[in-house]
Amino acid sequence: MKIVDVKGMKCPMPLIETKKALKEIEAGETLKILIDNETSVKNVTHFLKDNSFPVEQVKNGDVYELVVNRTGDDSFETVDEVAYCEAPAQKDNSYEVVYAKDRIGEGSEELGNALVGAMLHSIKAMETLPTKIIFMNSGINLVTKGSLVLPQLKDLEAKGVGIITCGTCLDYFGKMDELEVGRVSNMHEIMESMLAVGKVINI
Amino acid sequence: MNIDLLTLVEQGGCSAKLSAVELNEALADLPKITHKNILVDIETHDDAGVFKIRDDYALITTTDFFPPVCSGAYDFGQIAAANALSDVYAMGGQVLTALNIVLFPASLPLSILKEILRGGQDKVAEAGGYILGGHTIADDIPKYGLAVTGWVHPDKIVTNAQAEPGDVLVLTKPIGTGIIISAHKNGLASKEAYNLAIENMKQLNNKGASVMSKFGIKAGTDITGFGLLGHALKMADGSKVSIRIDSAKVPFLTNVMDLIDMGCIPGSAFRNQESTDGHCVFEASVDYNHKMLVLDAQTSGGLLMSVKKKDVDNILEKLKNAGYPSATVVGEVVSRMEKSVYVG
Repeated sequence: MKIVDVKGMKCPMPLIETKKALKEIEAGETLKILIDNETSVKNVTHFLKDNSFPVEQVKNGDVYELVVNRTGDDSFETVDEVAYCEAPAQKDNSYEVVYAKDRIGEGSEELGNALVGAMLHSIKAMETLPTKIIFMNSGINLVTKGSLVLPQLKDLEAKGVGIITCGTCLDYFGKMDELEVGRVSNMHEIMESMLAVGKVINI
Repeated sequence: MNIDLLTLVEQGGCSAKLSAVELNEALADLPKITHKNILVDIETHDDAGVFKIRDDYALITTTDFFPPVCSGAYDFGQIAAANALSDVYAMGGQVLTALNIVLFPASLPLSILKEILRGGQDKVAEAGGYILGGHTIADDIPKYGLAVTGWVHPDKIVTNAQAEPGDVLVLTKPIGTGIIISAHKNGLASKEAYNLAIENMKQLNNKGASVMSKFGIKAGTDITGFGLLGHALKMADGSKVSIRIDSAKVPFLTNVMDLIDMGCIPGSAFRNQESTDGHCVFEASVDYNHKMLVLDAQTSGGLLMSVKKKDVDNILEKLKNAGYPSATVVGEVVSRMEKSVYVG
């Protein structure tokens, strides 16, 4: 276990020292931070939680001890090292979903429409949410007035999923003023985000 | 005698503000005041109050003061004054007069106070106004600022309340002053970065206000202690719309992103995070550093104006020529959605 003593330091030095220490320790190692002012305890804890590091707090007299696991994932401690090394390096779980039409698949239109709702419902329940959902061509019908899946999309947006609609498409269909959820974007941004993300799912 | 004013304070500038949550609680039980001539009051969380004198003339009143944000006394005087005057500009007005507000310890040499006051006087003069007097209290930590009176034509008032869906948001100055000051205090900011931040804070928003007036802009605010996100939130709620901020487009001062990455995040940014929590959404694609950037408390920050799309190129050109080279579009106004601000 690595110990960082930031007693007597004023904000933001405790956070700077914490970040430095987190970079120095190995995955799976634990870090203990000793802090003696409450503001810094609050701020450092905020930072750690925001970055998904589980943190435990113990108060010892006037000194707070924050115990942090480097990986943010307890399972690392129990995994044997060889198996861990063979695991693919840093699997990128991030993904985006592109709706280039307003239903799923060919065949029955009615079924295709219903499947969109079912799919969004399932996306909501996924452990990893998509970073963005992108709407193009007739897909824009899902984000504009009259769409039946607006509640699901608003829900996803509130959870931090970017709801992105192609501006050219809205313009083409004359629906620029009817966008009900998310924001307008352009092909440049859409391409950039597709290239940056781990996986793109095309509907 | 040279004294680094920053060694006297833990939190400087607008970082020293009470949190928005505490402020709202403190104000909650006060009775609401109404009068037919009150055009703008605290209701929309605006930058200053506006009181109509005639149909073509309204007074703007505002005050702002804080502990040192920089090492030098003359710089501090100028920055504190620019920051206080900014509230008049954020309402679309022009400065008339000002009063000094001074808290100063008996233990410090008077030469420092003289320099602070000279800085204030110079800034007010640059703004075309006059300091008519002031009030002084002995206090352990120096604090300086102004109570300012300005004027505006009632039809030209710029508030938080009239941003309309379809508008785009223009920010006139880069952000990150809270982070740079905090880094400077701990010897982490380069001299160049510190000096740029000082110049940034000294710069008046007068020319930005002129541009707002010329283009008939109705909604705008200045970015100070609640950070870009906090002030965008006030505008969204004041106008009953939602705002989208594109964090990748937000201009920032030299070194700022490196400093955030190092962990140099002032406590005020965390306070702003708490007070905006629940009202703002960060898309998953926004990295932690950009998140903290938009939460950084600014001192004497730029204007955030809600402009019509057709005018935006023209406005940006005017702003750049007026001495705001970083002026740029940072977001847009959309119809009210569930949350107030969405950061992408």
